Amino acid sequence: MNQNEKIQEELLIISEVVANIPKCNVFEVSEGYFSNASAEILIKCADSSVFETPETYFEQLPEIILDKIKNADSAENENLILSTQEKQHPYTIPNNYFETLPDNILQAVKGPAKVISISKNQIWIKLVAAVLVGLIGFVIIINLPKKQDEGISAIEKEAKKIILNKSFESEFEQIDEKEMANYLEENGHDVNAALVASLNEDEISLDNDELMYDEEAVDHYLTDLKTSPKFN
Amino acid sequence: MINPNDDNDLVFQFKNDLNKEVAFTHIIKKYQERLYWHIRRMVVEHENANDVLQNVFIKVWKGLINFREDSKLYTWLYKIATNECLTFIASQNKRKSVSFSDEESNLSNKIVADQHFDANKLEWKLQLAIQKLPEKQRVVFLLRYYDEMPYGEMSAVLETSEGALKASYHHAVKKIEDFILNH
Repeated sequence: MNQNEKIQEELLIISEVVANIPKCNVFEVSEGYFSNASAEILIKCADSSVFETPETYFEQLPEIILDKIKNADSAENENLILSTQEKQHPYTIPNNYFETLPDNILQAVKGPAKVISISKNQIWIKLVAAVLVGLIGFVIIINLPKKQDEGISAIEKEAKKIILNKSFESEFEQIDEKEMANYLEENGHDVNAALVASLNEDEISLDNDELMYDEEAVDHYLTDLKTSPKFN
Repeated sequence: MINPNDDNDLVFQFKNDLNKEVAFTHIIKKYQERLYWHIRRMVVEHENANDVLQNVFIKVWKGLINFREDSKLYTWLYKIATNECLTFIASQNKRKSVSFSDEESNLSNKIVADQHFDANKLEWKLQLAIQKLPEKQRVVFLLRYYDEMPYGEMSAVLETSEGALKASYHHAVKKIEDFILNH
């Protein structure tokens, strides 16, 4: 089936009415039109190329202009474009921005006020309590499985009772200060070092200088830090 | 020696400036009638068709040197002719400040004004129906119905998918059928 037959068949499927219209040219042209057309067109083609430019003229033009600019006085040309531009910021800022900026920065730096307890006694008590509970708990945990059958010593029993009842604060109040001081003198390295580490510049006062200068305490603390898995 | 039946040879001769004008003349003679009638069915009047045809070949003269030969020469020529027709129609409408519906009636009036026009004849009714079609559908119908162009080639000319062209042709035929049955 040739192209003509295919198209006719396609048309017949879509519309019999249109397929049955005689296919002919209703328009006419003057005699000799096509014989003369090519000559007329050639003349027009020749006319259309009166004003000609070299083939790659427009492609090379930007480069030519740029070279001329570069070859001219460099100082003048560098400023040529810049000097014709007004120095204007395209961006805008809120009113009074620079006036309020220092205050805004200070507020951001200071942050919200924190309520810090300045009672030295409270710091001492909390740290000492934490260390004692930790030590006692550690001892109990280590020894409990082994001595379960053999019975727990009186101190360990008491410690266990305190931990379970969460009553170390009330128990603590009952401890004699002298006894506490003696204990700390014998076992105070870790407590001193912890105190030094916990104090920030505001909290360090002249009275606490002795903590800072307790080299043994600091060394001991730093050694612990190095060996702590948290910092390795 | 130029082979006027071989488009590739004609293009080669033109591009290499060997027998540029001779090659170009061969191209005109080979395709002028086909292109003319395609243009004439779009713009209706001979004077306008002549202007458009000449513009088409002037463009071919200037552009053939850069023709990439991705498609056939004949497809490329039809593409230029179709674009020139649409540009011409648009410029005519702009000049006269006519709307789309006015453009149809304008071309229909030109058909009716033809000295050989006969309203009783189906072939004249067909011309009136064709002018009622939207531009793109008109082009599709003319290329398929009169030039018997395969959809594959039409796709290259109009840069539209074959599926869309088939649908467009189907709609065009249905609209023509409707017009003929009701007028």
